[in-house]
Amino acid sequence: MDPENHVNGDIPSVSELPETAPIHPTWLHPSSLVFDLLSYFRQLLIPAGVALFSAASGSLTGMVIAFVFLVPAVMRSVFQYFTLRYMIDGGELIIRKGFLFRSLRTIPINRIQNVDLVQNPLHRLLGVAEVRVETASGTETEARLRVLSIRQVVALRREIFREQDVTSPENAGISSHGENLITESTSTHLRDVDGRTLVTIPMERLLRAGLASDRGMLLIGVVVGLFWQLDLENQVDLRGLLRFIPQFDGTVWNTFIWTAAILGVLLLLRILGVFWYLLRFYDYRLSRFGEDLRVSCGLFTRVSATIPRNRIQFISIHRTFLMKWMGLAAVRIETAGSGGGQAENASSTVSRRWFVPVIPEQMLPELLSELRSGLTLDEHQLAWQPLATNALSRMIRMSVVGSLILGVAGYFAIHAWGWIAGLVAMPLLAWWSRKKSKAMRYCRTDDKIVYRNGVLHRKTSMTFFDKVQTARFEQSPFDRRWNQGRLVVDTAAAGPAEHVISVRFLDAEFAKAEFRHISAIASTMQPDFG
Amino acid sequence: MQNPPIEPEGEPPDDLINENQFGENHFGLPETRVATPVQEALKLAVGELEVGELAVLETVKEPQFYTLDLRFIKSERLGNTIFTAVLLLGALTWIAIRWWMHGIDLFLEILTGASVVVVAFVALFSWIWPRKNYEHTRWRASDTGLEVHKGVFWQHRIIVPMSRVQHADVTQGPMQRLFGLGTLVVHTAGTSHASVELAGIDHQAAIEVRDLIIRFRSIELGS
Repeated sequence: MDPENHVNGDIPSVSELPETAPIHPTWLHPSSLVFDLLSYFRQLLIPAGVALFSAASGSLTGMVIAFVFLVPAVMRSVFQYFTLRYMIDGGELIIRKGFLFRSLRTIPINRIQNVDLVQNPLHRLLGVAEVRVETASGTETEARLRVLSIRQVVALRREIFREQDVTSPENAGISSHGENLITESTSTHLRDVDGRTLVTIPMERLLRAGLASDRGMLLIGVVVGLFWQLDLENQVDLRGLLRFIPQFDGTVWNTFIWTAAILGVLLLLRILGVFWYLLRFYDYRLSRFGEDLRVSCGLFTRVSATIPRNRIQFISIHRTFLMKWMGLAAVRIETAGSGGGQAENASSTVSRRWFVPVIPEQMLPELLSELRSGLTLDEHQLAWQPLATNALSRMIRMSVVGSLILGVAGYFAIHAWGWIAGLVAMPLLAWWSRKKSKAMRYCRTDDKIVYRNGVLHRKTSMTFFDKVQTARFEQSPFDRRWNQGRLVVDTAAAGPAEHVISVRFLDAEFAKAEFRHISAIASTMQPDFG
Repeated sequence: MQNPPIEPEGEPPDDLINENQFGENHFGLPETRVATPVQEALKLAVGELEVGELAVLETVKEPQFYTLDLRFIKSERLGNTIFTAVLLLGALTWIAIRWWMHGIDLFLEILTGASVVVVAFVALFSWIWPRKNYEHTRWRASDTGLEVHKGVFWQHRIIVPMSRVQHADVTQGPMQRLFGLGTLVVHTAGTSHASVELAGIDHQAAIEVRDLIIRFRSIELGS
């Protein structure tokens, strides 16, 4: 597909479109009732739970409250189910809702970018899927159909992609994927058989990635958070538990037990991470259909998402310390309109934040060249620009000041030997600054801007001149003292990659020149949101 | 090359520019005005420029920077004066009530002292700050886009390329209306700096710049 053509959305007139078999007004799958109710109750989990609990224990008020919650909810779901119909007619997806207050949403099919599917185990058991229709403009899902049977999904997808294939001639070669979806409807996995598979993750690599990740730590955080939230510390006798833990007394056996216990906990955290990875990314597959990338993965809840290539605004390569050691990397992407963390749902989290959860280092160049035409990135060959010559001195001075503050604070906190902490921290922080200044690099090539930083968790991110929104040069009073400046490049999407191009400690004149240069190049290019 | 047809807006009087005792290099801000004879001379020399001197040519071709409208200082000071007056009135009321109810005691003395210090500080600040702001703000609309330099201590420069402008507004607060000033707000599809605000230029100029941006963008998009 010609990207220019795609961007500007050269929409053929309706008469040019072939006769498509329109989908006549259709109800959702009957099990929608159940899923609608379930999602409703999930929002009211706590009040509904309390009400049901007191109702079960025979309280009249509880029963009344439960009744008040339950009956309208059921009525609402039934009402919604019977008043919602969707259809495809005249090149538009039409969703009609309501009875007294009617709403009619029409989405031109050639503006539809993604048809994402989410299937949790219950969905799979009933052979249905939640469908999210996304357009380029929307910051959130344009339309959500909860839920459709697989047969309906196949029909819907076939109609949407058939029309799109016609509008984009080069896509015609893969127009067979509609047919393939039919054969697929017999299988419960919504995996596309067609298209070119770019990345799959063998079990062994997935396990290694899980081991290398810090996900387990996050789970601990969740548990601790729940513990405080539910006020459990007053109900669980922590002191009683503490009595079972042997005191550390320095004998060989005792030291051994302690070391083993600590190692055990660390291992447990790693194993939790592995489980998380397994649940999320089991049977991961990234494939390319013309100009679209498709991701599908998940053990119980299966997610499948489509991302048009030209919607990618920002590519970020993450390598944690352990991943670097294992020769692995993760790739995150950001797309236009993929808002903040709040708006994220299962499918967008997977398809952006965890775009490629793990990939061997040597497969990276090939993957990147698939993400954007003509994209090459050899991090060793890039003409990385150095930071300002006095950047390291400044960072070391910052660490010296930091450790002095730590020393003074330590002295006032625990007197006597408190200042030792500051003394110890000084060389460590200075060493850390050195590592940091070595990791932090900026580079501009003909088509992109690349920024890399992070000592333990190395992040290398890039954006492209047609994706740059604004460039900014910033100087704090301290920067002026050191004749340094910060260069910031803003794109239409910042969030899932958890990295922004904001380069500190650059030489002021250099940063200023870059700022001007980037703006000048960006201004000659049309913005491309895909 | 299409230079924006904007008339120099709010030309600062010569004494103000010369008054900047810190000098140009201290703030690293570009000159607001290029001496016309020099510019003309450079333009005449364009034909004889060597490749290596193209950089000089570029700077000549770039339109000059504008400051904010001088009335910005007045309008800000008026607004700040009102704020200070309200603050002073509040402090006086508190002191009066306290005096009336408890007579003169230690608390009243402290309160009075603190009020004097705070009000004096606010008054001083609200008088100096608009001027500082004025001195540190520069803007221009060039082929590259709308460029704004801002910030007294934490300074920044931003360029919004014309083609990245989603929409542009001109707003006018009550104080600005009194002085015929306006605020130009340019929105992009970006995230961390999705809008750029230029407050305190002539209202008519703001409208002209907005129209210019929109016209420029529609030409670009059309091609």
